[in-house]
Amino acid sequence: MTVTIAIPSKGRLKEQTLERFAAAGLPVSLPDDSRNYRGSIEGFPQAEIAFLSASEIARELIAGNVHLGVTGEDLARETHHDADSVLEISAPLGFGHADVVVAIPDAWVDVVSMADLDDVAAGFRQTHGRRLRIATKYWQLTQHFFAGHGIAVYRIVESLGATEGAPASGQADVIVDITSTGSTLQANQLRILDDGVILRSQAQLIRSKTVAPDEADAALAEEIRTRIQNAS
Amino acid sequence: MSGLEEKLLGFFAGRGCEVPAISLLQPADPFLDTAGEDLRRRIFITADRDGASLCLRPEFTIPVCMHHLASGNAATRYAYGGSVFRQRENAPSEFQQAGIEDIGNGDRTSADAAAILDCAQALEAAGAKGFEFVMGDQAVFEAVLDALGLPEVWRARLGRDFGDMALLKNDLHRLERGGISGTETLPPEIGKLVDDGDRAGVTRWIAGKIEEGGLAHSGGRTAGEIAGRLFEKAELAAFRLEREKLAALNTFLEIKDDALSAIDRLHALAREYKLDLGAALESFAARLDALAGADLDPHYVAAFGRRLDYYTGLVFEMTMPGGEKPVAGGGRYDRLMGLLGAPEPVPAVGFSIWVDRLPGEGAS
Repeated sequence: MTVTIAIPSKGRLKEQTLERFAAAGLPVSLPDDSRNYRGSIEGFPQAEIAFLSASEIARELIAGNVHLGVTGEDLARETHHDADSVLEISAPLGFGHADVVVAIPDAWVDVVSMADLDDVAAGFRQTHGRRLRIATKYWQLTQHFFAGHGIAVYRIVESLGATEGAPASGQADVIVDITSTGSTLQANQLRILDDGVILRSQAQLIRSKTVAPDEADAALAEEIRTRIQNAS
Repeated sequence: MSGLEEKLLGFFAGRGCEVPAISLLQPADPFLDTAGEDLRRRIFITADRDGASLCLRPEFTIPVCMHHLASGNAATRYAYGGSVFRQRENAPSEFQQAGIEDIGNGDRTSADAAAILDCAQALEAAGAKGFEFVMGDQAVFEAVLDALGLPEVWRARLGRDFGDMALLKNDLHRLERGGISGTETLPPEIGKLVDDGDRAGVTRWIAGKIEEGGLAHSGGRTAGEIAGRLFEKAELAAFRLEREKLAALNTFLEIKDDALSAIDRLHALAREYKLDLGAALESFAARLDALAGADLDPHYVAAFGRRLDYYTGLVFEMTMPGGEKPVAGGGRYDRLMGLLGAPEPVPAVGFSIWVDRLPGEGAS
């Protein structure tokens, strides 16, 4: 049958993924027509490449519509509450690094740890008549991380872009967002809590556990995985 | 509605309860605002075409309180029964609850006792006999903290931990050995201002930072608020509880006994460590007196509490022998009506029966 491998359809993540596939002896032939989102691997007629957006890749892996996929670990873990039960996330690719972090206004000099934030969240309602607000697109990761620190009383404000501006615009008090160099946070006078790194994310070659391939497909998927990992 | 629920509702109606109509579809915000965002992954949320969040009724207490608030009723006892919906592992998402909420009755002792008695008798009427009955009391814990002379910042923190032994033990450890950062993590210039107790200077310094960050002036934390917490934190970090007082606290937390013996042990604790547990202990004893004729064999577990900031006093659970989960649970939540918008504090206590867990019902 066919092994389907999902690869990011644009940007730096796409380029780096294609470079890695080439280095692993798995050169990806791009579709002739740029509107065609299917590709192939030379010498592997049984493998099919699907070009999808990074967040779609996480969903398709979980749904079992693709066997393998390259996407950020942050997106994989955000898309399912128990990602390890449906995905095998164990082949880091060494690029696409980004940390998911809890960041607060730098002026909050009394807050350096999650325990401090717990104190602030607990007293917030009394002082402000509302709960502490966190701007993020990472609902799952935030809820899970905050629960792990015993913090329940806060509200999430969904933010799909420019999250770092939320405290200054008054939309939220605190943010959970990705950062690679920290410069955007700094420019917005935000500071990462000492124990506020939720996930050190990078691009991963992820295997879906929800699809049950036949023996030949499983062997091919495994070979592709091994080659990609050894090519680093 | 199952036959059992109807039977329970009939029983409650016989106790003079009003039965309000509670819609299956509820606004989600009151639940998320009170129990916290963490609840979101355990309930079923949807949105209407205007984008407002709605959820399938995850419990009855909050809707009943909202009904009370909207009705403008004086003190009222409400009964309810029906389906509630939550996302649970290995258990159906829809299950049945029935119970009573007693809202506005200022005679806390008799309201607490009535909640326990009605719950116990409803269980018996439903065929659940021989259950084990355990109670705890946040007010007794807080009285112990108070009597030990803990500063307000520490009482607040430990009060929040109450109900979670791991969190509590962590903070007790810090109370003995330290480990909370004080002023040492601050930029030196402001650290010195805090050490000098210069509150105005600290506030000015923070106001400058807020300006620099371009933070919105509406809504966010003010310089005075941040400065205030900075001093509180310094106090939190500096305070140590003497070994003897810590021993008192640990002895208290280990009390697990039948309730009458527990009272003796609480009195003994108060004598040994010279603690004045006055009013909290009296209410505890008075509540037990009110239950005296009922053949309930209550047990008291000193560390038993719920980590929801609106629970204020009594908590209790009934469990069938060998049962893993309680068939009923209840407690006093004097801070909930305020969170939901009541202009003044409203005393309230209630309980809920997990109908599916009753003997003879489908296990859940």
